[in-house]
Amino acid sequence: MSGLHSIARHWPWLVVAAAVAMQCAVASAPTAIARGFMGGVIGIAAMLATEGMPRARAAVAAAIVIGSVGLASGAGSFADPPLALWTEILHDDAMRIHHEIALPRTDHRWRAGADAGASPYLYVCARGRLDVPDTLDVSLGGDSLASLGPSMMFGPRPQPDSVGFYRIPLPWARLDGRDRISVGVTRHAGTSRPLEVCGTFMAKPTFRIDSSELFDGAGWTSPWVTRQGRYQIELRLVSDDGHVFGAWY
Amino acid sequence: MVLTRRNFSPSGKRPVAIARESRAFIHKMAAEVFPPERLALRQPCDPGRDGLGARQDLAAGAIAAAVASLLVNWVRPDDSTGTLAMLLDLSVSLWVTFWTATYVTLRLASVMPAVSGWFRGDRPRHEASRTVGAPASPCRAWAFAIAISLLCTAEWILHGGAANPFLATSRPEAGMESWTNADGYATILDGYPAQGDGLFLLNLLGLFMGDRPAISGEFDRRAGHVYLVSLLQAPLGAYWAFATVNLGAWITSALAVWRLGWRRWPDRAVGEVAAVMVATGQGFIFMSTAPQAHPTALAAFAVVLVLLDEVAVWTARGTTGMRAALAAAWATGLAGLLYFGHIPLLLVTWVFGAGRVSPGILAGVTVAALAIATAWQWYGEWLLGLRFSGGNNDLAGGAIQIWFRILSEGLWSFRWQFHAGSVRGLLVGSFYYPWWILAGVGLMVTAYRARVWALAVFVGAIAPAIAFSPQFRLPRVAYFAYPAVYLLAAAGLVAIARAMVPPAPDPVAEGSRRIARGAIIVVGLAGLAILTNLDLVGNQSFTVWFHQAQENAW
Repeated sequence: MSGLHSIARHWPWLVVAAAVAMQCAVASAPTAIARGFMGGVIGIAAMLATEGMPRARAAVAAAIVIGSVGLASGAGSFADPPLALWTEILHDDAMRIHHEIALPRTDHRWRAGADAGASPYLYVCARGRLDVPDTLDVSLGGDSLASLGPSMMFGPRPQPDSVGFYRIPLPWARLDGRDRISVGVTRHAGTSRPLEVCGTFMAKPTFRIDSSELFDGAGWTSPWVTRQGRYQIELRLVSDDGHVFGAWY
Repeated sequence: MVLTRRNFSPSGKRPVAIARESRAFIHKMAAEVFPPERLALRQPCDPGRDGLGARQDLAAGAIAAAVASLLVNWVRPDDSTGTLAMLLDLSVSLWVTFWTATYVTLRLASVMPAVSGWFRGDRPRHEASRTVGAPASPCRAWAFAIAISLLCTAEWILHGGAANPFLATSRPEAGMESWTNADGYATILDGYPAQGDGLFLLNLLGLFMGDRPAISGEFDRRAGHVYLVSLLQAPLGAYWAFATVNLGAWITSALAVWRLGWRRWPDRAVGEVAAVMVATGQGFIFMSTAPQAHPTALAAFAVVLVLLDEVAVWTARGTTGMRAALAAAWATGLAGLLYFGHIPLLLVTWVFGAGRVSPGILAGVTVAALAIATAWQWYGEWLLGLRFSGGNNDLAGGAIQIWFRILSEGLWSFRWQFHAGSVRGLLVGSFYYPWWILAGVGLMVTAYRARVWALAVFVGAIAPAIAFSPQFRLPRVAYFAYPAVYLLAAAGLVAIARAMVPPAPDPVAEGSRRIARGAIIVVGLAGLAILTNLDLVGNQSFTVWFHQAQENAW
């Protein structure tokens, strides 16, 4: 009788112990080791904390069992997120990058910036300190806009070869009457070395999910297809005091 | 004729017998008029009877003011004293820091009878085990719990995904970072944008899921949080598992603060108002769906505070006391596996427990809690090959080294630190001025039992944030003070409502007055909620301050 009494009193302990043991039994050694520690510590904490509170203890034990079943029976795998930063190497004059941005004229940030007299800028992320002749040319709608140079470097850049933004002023007149802009990036004529343009994941495009494209000399491919990403080419509205009203790509 | 014990004897009895009878009569009357239960509620150490000098918090305030004044006036002037705004910022930062340090010292020193005698009003007493402001009925309790859960869920939805303030404040338009792209410091989990540090938790998640080998990362010490996430990952996916754990923590925190309120404040409304403040609180809104350990750690902090009361760790003795101490130690150690919640909890345990609980028990709780938190490091290094070093693993040690360097450079450097790392800006980033003003009012109207507890929670939470400030000013670390700040602010708001619409003796009139007081409180809470929700209309000021502190700006 006393044995039954003891089991009746301690059943949540037994249930939690069984649940943690089940998590460990179905796993590889490193996973079982990790699960065993955390499951043990959390299970003991839950039981100690609910001493004298049978309903709370039963609820906690049930939660641990449900979680354990989910953990033990789950597929166990999950996809890696797309890379937050990568670079595309332009090693050939025939290679070019193309990115389309729909002008966000209905976005309240765009309207606020325009009303406040903010200026549009193109931000292009590239590796290293670029200067003519080893630099990148940026075009807008097929017309040359600028060659990247040190005066356009923006933001922190602790190392000469680290990545960072170049900021190019964009006259309002170049945006008039357009619904979207088409930005091109190529190596400057006479460049003697490969140059890198940054890329990142794609979350909220203004135009199309595959609005970034690369021409490798033979055909066009989108980094959305290869990396679920885009090139870091952005349109921003910035006031004279540096306040950014919005950034779009 | 002068009456003396010898000659005044109307009943003819001897004076000694009269005195004995008188004492018995007085005791009998006292037992009827002030039953033991009520005597405890009278709070015999109410400072009002001992004057200002009897309160440790006020004495600490005076000492802190003196030290801050010395540091402001004796150390040579520099930019930190160049303008009135800078001077005030520096003064407040110094005062808060020295008040915290002095109060902690005085509380701990109170275990010595000599020191305890200095502050008759605040002499540590054994804590009465009671619930003074519990809900009126189970129905009301359930209704309120459901309402709070829905409010937390609504805020969680509104501030989720790309609207998560932790993520949103890293975008270029927030003005905080100049290196991030249009999406901010982000990663994509299951197709959803999430705060970028979540990426560094995925290796641990993969280990618990059986998907990856053990790989060291930035957050090896916070593995307890990732383990909880792993319990939900299979059915929900990574993004929603992290987000759901945060929501559960948010609701748990609100309910725990409600529980703490009804345990210590006689007015039921205080706990309820504080729970609403948690549900609309800046720290939880800031975290919302971010794949980070902070909401879980904040919840663990409040839950362990509830647990310390529930297992009667402040009052239990003997075997019951040992069991209570074991539960407290284990739960505190577990909080250390989520984030560094065990440090503020241990500080609270010492500051409030000194004089109530034997120093041996306090030391035992400390050693056991630290052992549990440290055991994961040994275990992980030995059996899994985790390194527990690099990146965020080393930040606390780095802060200590910076303090040593600052102190070695002399008083000027020491004072400058409070300008460069404004403690005022840190605390205002955690809770904006309205909460501090309300909490100040609440502190004035809160009686000893709740006040000393709230101050212990407050100093236990902000002391680590101040200690860490030379490395980073992180309002999210100071936000561990939310149970104390929100409960005191709630007490302040309730007191203001009572002052504006005093209770009436007539039940009919009191009914309408109660509604008026409720309306005042609702308006106050709505005003506070508007401030914490301003990010929804594009104003990131408060969320940016919560992200990186307010620095020297007022």
